[in-house]
Amino acid sequence: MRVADGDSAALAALYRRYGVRLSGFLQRYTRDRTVAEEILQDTLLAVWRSAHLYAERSGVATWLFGIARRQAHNRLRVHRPEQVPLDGLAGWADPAPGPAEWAVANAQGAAIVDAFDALASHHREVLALAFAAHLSHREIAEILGVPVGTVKSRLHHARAALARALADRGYVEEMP
Amino acid sequence: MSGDGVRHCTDSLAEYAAGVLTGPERAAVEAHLAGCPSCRAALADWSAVAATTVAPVDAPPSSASIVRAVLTRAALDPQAPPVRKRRARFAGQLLRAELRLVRPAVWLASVLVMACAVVLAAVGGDDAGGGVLSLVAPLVAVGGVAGVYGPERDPAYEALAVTVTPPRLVLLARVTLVFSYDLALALAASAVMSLAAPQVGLVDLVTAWLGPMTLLLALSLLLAMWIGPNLATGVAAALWAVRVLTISVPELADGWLATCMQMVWATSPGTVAAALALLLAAVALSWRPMRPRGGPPHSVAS
Repeated sequence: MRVADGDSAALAALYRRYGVRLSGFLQRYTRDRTVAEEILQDTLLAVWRSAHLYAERSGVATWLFGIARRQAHNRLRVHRPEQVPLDGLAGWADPAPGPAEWAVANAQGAAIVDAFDALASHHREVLALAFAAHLSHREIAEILGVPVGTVKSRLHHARAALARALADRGYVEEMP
Repeated sequence: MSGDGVRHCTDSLAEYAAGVLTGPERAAVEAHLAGCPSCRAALADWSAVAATTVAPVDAPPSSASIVRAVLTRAALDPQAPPVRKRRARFAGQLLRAELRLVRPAVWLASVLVMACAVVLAAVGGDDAGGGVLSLVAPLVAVGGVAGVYGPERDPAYEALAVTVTPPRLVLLARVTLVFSYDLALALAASAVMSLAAPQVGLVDLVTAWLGPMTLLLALSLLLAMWIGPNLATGVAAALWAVRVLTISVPELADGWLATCMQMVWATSPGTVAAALALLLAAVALSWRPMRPRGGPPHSVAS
């Protein structure tokens, strides 16, 4: 791994490859774009400093997301995110929304974000790892340190919780 | 897992919706989905969850901006990587880099002086070798140390002044190079002399200069780090002059000073221990940052 040799171009390449997934995971897990970006920096800094500890036996993705998750835990312990007020899309408002944001905003996007953010942190975590970080169940199991079966059942519970949260907010669609 | 058409692919639908499956796994799920309405419905649920999860995600910061931010933090935050392997590699890199920065004159002058010593010894006869070398080799080493550091001698002085590598560490690296080189030179000179005069043993020749050379070099190195290279060279040269005088001036040759000098400037366990102690002190001094900002990320100190 070239990052271990202090190669900043390698760090940039690593970020280009995983940045979107890392950032997506952190944004959904932390529910705050600014905090997510800080943790993203923390993660890359930790990668920069600990690349020589990278063991080939685990994949780059699990190693990377494992670091990101630890950094998030470290920072969220300090920030106490459960006290952050949730006011729908306001926290996510972007001066220049892309097509996805428009679509979501037009289709009860506020309710969707609100419902997701209301989930318990271990549900947000597993959903973000699966659908924002695009990791396999085996990789998620390795990152969380639980059996693959636990990942699957946690995903099912998270899906059910999300459906309930959406229903509570009057969002009606064929969610189970 | 769904190829038999009986078992549903429920287990893989979440991963399929996340776009994680590839190759045969993906093909198997797609084949099953084509003929299984209940799995298609379940997939729709997972796809909705996937869309809900990623929908409000903002674009990440650009790679250039975040890498810059991370490297800046790495440089400002004085937390050094804790692994020894990195230190060893850094030491190697430093030595290689400094090898290019020591001026050619230092190498050339050392070899010329040493060649003169060999010629002198040859002219002086069989027994002159040890004496000449014991006087010349330490001086060559001190000259080398003097030649590697300081604003007027260092082509990279300006650059060095702003690097994070502590100047003392740079001095230590260069002295290591110069000392190794002088050691090799003196060994070569001894070998030549013992070849030219076979009755003089190589071991005797080496013993004649090794102790004094190491001790004087260690002393001048420590002084260079403590009071600067110019003064250090002066002090070392003065000490050496005292030794030469006690040998060459008849009135002094039998006094207490001469006895002292013989004891100090010899290859003995005592001098070797003293030289080692001085070198260790120099090393300890070199890892103490000179400036408050010294330390990150190349600093070997922690």
